[in-house]
Amino acid sequence: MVVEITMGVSLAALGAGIAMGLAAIGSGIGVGIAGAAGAGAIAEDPDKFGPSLVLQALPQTQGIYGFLGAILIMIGTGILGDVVAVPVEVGIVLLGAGISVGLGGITAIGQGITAASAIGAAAKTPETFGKGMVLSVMSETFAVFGLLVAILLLVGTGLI
Amino acid sequence: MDLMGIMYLEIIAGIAALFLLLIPLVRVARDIIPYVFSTARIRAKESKLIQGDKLEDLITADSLTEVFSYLETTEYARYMQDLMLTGSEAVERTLLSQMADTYVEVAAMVPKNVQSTFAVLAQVWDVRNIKTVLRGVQEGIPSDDIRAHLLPAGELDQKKLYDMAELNTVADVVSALEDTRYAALVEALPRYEEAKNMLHLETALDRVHWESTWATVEQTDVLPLKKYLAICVDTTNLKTLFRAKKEELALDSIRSSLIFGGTVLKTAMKAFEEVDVSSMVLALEGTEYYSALSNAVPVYEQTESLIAVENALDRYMIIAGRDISIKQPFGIGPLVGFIAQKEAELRNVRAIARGKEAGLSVDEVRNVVISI
Repeated sequence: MVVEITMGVSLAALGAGIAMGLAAIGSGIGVGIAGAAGAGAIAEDPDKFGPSLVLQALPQTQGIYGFLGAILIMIGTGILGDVVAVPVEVGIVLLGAGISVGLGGITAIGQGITAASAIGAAAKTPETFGKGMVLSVMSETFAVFGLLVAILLLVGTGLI
Repeated sequence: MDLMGIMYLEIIAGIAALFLLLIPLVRVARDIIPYVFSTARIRAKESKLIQGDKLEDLITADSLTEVFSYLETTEYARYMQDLMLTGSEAVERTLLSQMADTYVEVAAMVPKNVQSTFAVLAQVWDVRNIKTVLRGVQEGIPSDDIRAHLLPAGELDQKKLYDMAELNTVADVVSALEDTRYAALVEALPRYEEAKNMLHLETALDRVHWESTWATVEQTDVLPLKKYLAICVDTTNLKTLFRAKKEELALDSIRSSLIFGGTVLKTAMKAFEEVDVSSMVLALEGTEYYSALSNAVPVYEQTESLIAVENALDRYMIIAGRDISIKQPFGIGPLVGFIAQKEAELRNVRAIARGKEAGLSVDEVRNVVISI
């Protein structure tokens, strides 16, 4: 199957790339920061692996949102299926959807920093693990909003 | 250029702007990442500190043997094997050995660009080791025995310290320090030779140490370290001045013991003009130490012992170290804070061991312990 690449489809593809790319950068840095903290905690006490792993996993979700946003854009424009005529204007809307998810994914850096602190706190006082998780999850809200806006844009343009 | 071309350009410019947005974020991450590992490791180490309930268990221990038994369940256990000493000396040796390793370990965690600055904290080991060598040589203790008490964790390496332990006279030891930051110790040698009182050299050594440390730190932009060391210098000077005031000494007689650094030396020297310790504390109003000191004055007036005032200063220093650690969660703060808390642990456990050995009651032991 060969998809006819129009300007609209190109813009949508750009949106999909930005959605995944920026979210991947955010999650990568966030998970890296939390992972380094986890390694520090484990170096002192190997039993801290479990709590560290859970907290390290939190910034990964933004990457998943980016992936989901990109897939939805690709499905909507027919890149993954039947060709859909995508006008330039709709392509720009889809680019906006991609940017929304992608920039939302940058919140993973902040989440990684909070998760790293929570790993440190749990390493010092294990009872703080749950509270540290709640604090870390807060950054997630804005990534969810970013994904939600992207989905609404796709619904609004009638592509999904 | 047609309309489509302009639109393409706008889109490309927009995407480039998006990536520019990432630069400050990457900078923030770049500043934090070097400290993430060490911060989490330090937090894990803090969980092992003897504080709170653990400290209370030691305070209420029935005997020194019970203190030993408790320490054997902690990370001190491996330092307690093959100890040639007994009693509180054994506890002290255990604490110091572990502390020396802690300094080396923490210094290794610090990012390379601040390692040399952080190393100033470890120089306190040079002072401890030089004092050990000086006392050992003065008392004619065999070099092997002096070596057994050395803990190389500072700037002076094991070879240098061991070579110094081989020397025959105190003057030789002072000469051997010519190529180090302690070269100025030679100025105090005539005073020592005249009175044969080691206190002259030890006081001079402390002063040389703190002034060289302060000079190093003043040139850096590592603010948490600067703040912590300023408090160390201030509390050392304040203790010297309070002791002198209590013993009714003149300022000139202790001037050579004061460290030129810190933040309150001028104010403290002015306060020294007051008639007694309580008035001195009042004259320190406006400094960061006033609140802590004023709370200790009633106890001082009741007991006429400076312990309460000195404990208040030590407590202030420990709390300041802990606060530095909290205020700057990623950076050198947690490392500085941990060292401060570890020094407090050493001080407390040593005091408890000595107290138990001397047969002090639980309340008496509690009075000499600083809990935060």
